[in-house]
Amino acid sequence: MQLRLALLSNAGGSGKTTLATHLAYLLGRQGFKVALMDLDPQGSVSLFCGLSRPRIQDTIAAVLQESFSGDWPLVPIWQDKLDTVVACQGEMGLVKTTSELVLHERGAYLLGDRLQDYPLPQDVIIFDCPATLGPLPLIALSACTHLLVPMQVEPKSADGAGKLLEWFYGNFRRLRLNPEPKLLGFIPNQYDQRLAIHRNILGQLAPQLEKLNIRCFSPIRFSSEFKNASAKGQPLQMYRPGHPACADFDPIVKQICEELRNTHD
Amino acid sequence: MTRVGIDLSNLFSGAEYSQEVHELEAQVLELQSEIQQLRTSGSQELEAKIQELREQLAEGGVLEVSLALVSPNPDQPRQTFTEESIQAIAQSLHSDGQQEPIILMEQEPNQYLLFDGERRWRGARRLGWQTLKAVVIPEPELLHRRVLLANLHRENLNALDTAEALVREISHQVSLNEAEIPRLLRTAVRRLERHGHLATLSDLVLAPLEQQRESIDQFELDTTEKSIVQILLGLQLNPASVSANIFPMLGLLDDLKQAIREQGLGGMHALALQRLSAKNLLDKNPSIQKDVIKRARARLLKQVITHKLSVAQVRKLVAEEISRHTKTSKPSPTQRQVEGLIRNVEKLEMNQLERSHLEQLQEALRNTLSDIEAALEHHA
Repeated sequence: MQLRLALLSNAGGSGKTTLATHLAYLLGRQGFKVALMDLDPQGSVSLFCGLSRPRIQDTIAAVLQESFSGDWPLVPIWQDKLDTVVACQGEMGLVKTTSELVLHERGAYLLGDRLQDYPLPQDVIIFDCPATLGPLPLIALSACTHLLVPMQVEPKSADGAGKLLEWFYGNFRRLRLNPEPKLLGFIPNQYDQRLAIHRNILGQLAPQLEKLNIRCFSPIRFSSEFKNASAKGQPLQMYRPGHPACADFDPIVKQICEELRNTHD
Repeated sequence: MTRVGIDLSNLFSGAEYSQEVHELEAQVLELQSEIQQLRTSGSQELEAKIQELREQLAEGGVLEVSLALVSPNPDQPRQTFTEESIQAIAQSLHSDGQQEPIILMEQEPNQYLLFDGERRWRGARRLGWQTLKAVVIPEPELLHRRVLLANLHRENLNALDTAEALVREISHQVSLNEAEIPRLLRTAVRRLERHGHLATLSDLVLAPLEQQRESIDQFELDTTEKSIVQILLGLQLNPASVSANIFPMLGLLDDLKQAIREQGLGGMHALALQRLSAKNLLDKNPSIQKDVIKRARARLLKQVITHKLSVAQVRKLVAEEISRHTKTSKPSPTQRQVEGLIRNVEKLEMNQLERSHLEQLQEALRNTLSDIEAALEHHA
């Protein structure tokens, strides 16, 4: 079975796209075939993967149109390093799609429907979602098998993360998701251990999540090299393979590989 | 200096609540579908499973339920109850007592549907019994209420979260717009106060639901108001105190709401600080500056949290701050005179004046100027 991973957070700048592109690259490097889908009208995946701005008919917006007939607009990324990863780009046109989703009778389930009617051969599909909890994250929630929540260790993001969980449980029920997607855990992001507020929030986060039976991954550290890498359209592992933050993704990749093994059994 | 930090458990209390409801709902659904399946399959296994279910539910407590509150289940598969079988069970109940609790489904507070034990229920009624021992499968709607109840009386829920949870719960049950609810409750409480019912109201908080409902029916309230009062009393909360102490949290300024959530500011403290708002001070001082007041509020807020001030201390501090803003900027009669004078002098268009007038003015101002200089010297 295909593993469909949605990255959701309830605050901007939490590192969703950074996480999405890095996981796509690292899983691709392990030999898994990966499709990275950008559900964010900002279209940041394009920037982070060194792709040019797409035409609207070459984005995920086209997939959500009534006229879609299975011709997924996928482009290969990091081709000189890998042949396993493709992206389905996002773009401003998705804003219009959002309002159409509200009116569509299968609105909340449309992405899942497409993946069922026109299945993709990839082992892993990663959905990068916009920060606002609206129709686009909802179609990812109903289409995914697994969830990951990147979270900045800041007060606003912590508040947003609590509300995101309420949103999860409310919509699991409302959308009658069966089976429900599995929440793999929270990933504290851009962690700077020199900051007292970061240490404070991280110190409380793990026990708080444990109470809810949710895994808290070890944090991904703050480094300006992430920005430099994204400006080049590369993941950090490609841009600066020796950087210590490269290893911060290992536990997440390991967990996903384990899930992949389980789904194959 | 205070330590940097926030109270994360506060930010996650809503998440804990939704997870709890979610898990309980899943359990109930599973339970019911399992029994449904068994009812269509072999009967022997059904009895065994019902016994298992009964034991599981009994862990949540065995209740004495009034027979009058129980209705037979129209979906009950065993539809025939012969006269003899009821007579037999009545006899057994009479001689041996009730061996096993009956299983009920809670439909609304104090309304139960029989899930298992209709024969015993009929037998007990024949014997003139008032109650039977029972275990209860909660319905999803009521799970919400129950978990909310457990959470409301838990310490880490702050007044603001409580207010939001209550408004949500009420709007969920009565289908009202959340924004209208505080106003409706305020009107209802005011009317109850006019009719001298407030003491009765507070007596009802811990009364059984049935008694609450009967008393509420006597009140001079419309149906919606009755429902709101009923929901709050059902949660063991006094509607008058919710209206006075909890719901005002919803109207707090954003910076104060944030301080409650992230810095553990007390609700009553927040209400005291709320008096220090531009909106509130505008009648006393029309020229008040919004950000000046906001900064003053931020300063006091920091003081309140750092020194853990009491509500009384906060009120005093706020009153002082308010008088400072209203006094310094409220023009005194002399100040008004001075301002008027300056305005008048500045308004004069000197080029238009006749020479004699100008000379008069020069003389007067020159004299005044030397008086001012003398007075200033005196001040220094």
